Amino acid sequence: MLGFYLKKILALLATLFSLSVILFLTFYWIPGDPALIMLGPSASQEAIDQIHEEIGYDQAIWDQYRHNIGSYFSTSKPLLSYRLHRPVRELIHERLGLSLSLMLLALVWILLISLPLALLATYHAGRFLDRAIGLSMRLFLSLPAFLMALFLALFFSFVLHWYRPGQSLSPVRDLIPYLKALLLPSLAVALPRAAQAYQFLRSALEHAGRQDFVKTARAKGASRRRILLRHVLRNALVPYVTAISLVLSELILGTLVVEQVFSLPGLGQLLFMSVAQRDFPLAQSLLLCLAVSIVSINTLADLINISIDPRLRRTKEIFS
Amino acid sequence: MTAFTTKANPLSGPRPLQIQKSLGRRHLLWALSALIILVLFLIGVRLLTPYSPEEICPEGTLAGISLSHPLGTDHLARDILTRIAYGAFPSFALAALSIVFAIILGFTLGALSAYGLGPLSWLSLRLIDLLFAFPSILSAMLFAAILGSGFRSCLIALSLAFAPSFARVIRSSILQHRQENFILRLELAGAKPIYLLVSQFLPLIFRDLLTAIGIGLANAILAESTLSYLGIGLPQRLPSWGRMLKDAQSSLYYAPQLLLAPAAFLIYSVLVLFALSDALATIQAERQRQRQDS
Repeated sequence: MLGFYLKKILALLATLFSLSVILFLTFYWIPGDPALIMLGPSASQEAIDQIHEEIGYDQAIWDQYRHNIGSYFSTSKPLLSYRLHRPVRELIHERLGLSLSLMLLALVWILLISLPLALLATYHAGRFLDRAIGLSMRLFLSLPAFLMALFLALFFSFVLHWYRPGQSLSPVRDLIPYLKALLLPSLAVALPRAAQAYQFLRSALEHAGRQDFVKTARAKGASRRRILLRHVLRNALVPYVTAISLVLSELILGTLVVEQVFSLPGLGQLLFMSVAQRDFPLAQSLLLCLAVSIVSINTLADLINISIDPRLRRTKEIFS
Repeated sequence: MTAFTTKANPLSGPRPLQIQKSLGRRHLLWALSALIILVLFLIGVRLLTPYSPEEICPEGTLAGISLSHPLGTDHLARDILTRIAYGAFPSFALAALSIVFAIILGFTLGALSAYGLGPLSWLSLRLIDLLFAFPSILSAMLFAAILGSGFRSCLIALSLAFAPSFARVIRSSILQHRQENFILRLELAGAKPIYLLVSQFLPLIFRDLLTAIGIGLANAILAESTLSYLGIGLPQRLPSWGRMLKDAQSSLYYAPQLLLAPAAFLIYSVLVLFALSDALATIQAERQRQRQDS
């Protein structure tokens, strides 16, 4: 069993390495002189040479790669953003907290929404409540993240008046206003994903509900509620955990998009700005971070799955 | 019948078999007609509208609903309904094209991974995993950063994003049926894998393929609208729905119809496509159940 884990982790490391190489090479091969991009076309030769010196432009490709990757781990030789002239690491650090809080809050929402609703719907299977919830979930699913965000903004600004754009808050100084400001965006990210998780859980609950042990428990006189919560839910949790981890990567992307909608100073803004302005070091680093987190989360989900359900260890592939 | 299923509860009698049998088909009929209505409506508006999507109308900006402008005008005094109709076709075309490429790429990878020789099959499997883990928006950003935004980079990104699902479809079919007698017989008679692929495996997955196409189209339309909203989708001159939604954001509070109109069409199209795939999946499940019962 341990060998299985090791194999998966090794595969993950190999994937991460190839990802970093691919991204580095992709941006390396883009034509153009970074110094000219940074300084503009009318720069003096000395300025250009100085920039070349700083970013190691004339080094061999291996050294540049090492420099690139090394800048993540130490601050001694930083990778500079083309447009903002600051180390990429700093820029990411500043905004990481906001994006992470948003994602975490969204995850909480997803769990809070999908779990009780799925249980409720299964309890009243086939009746109005089930269909109504299912329909609204389908509706949420068909909304892209930004549209959900726009609708929520419309709703929250017309009905309640919580939404006030353009404030900069820190979680340490004022926790409650911070949470209040993040409430709406995180909900916007969470709702479509919650719908996905809900669908998974609902079908898993229904599938588990068809098993024979439910009949046995019922025959023994257990109430429907007890059966649902105690027995059926436990069996349905495994696919639910899988679903949640699949949803996580889409959660990350949704957060980035929603940040744009609400103009929150998070990583999303940084990413889209760097892409639009062709700021290659920043874009490359951000894309690498994103890709790394997504791939790692997927592998983590696989590992969790395997540890919960031993039957999965014998199959060699991840396709379910 | 157990306590948590949606079929008739154990205390009532069984439903007549007739209704159960045609449930999937009825859904399919509804979904198809909804889709046809949408397409006819869009084509009709496109052909009959007196305005062009960039034309500035004398009624002024943010005009309300009226007879001459059924959905009003936007912040640049352009007719909204016309823009919606004109914006539908590039989005749909991009979605359809990317699905086509995704199928081609996905099938190749999937077939290679199931049938190919050792290292090739292993490599394509790894590639599928890699693509699977890469969400569409991320790769779209990557290509936008390199190639610049526009139709081509979107197409590549979306095709790469949806290829793994199709790879999975063909791969599971091959793995499932590979050892069956009728395949083995053909192999013994000297059939090449490509022939087997086209003549045998493909028809087996036909319905699943249609379902996957429906879901893929819906997701492709959603992805394209997100990309256009972010500014890295279709070029500026095309009135894509995503871009219309972005424009609507600035006048959100005093002219919500700018947001609601394209949003309604977007949601409708996506829902219809999802419903189609659902209906097809239900039909498939019903067939499966019939086969199991008999």
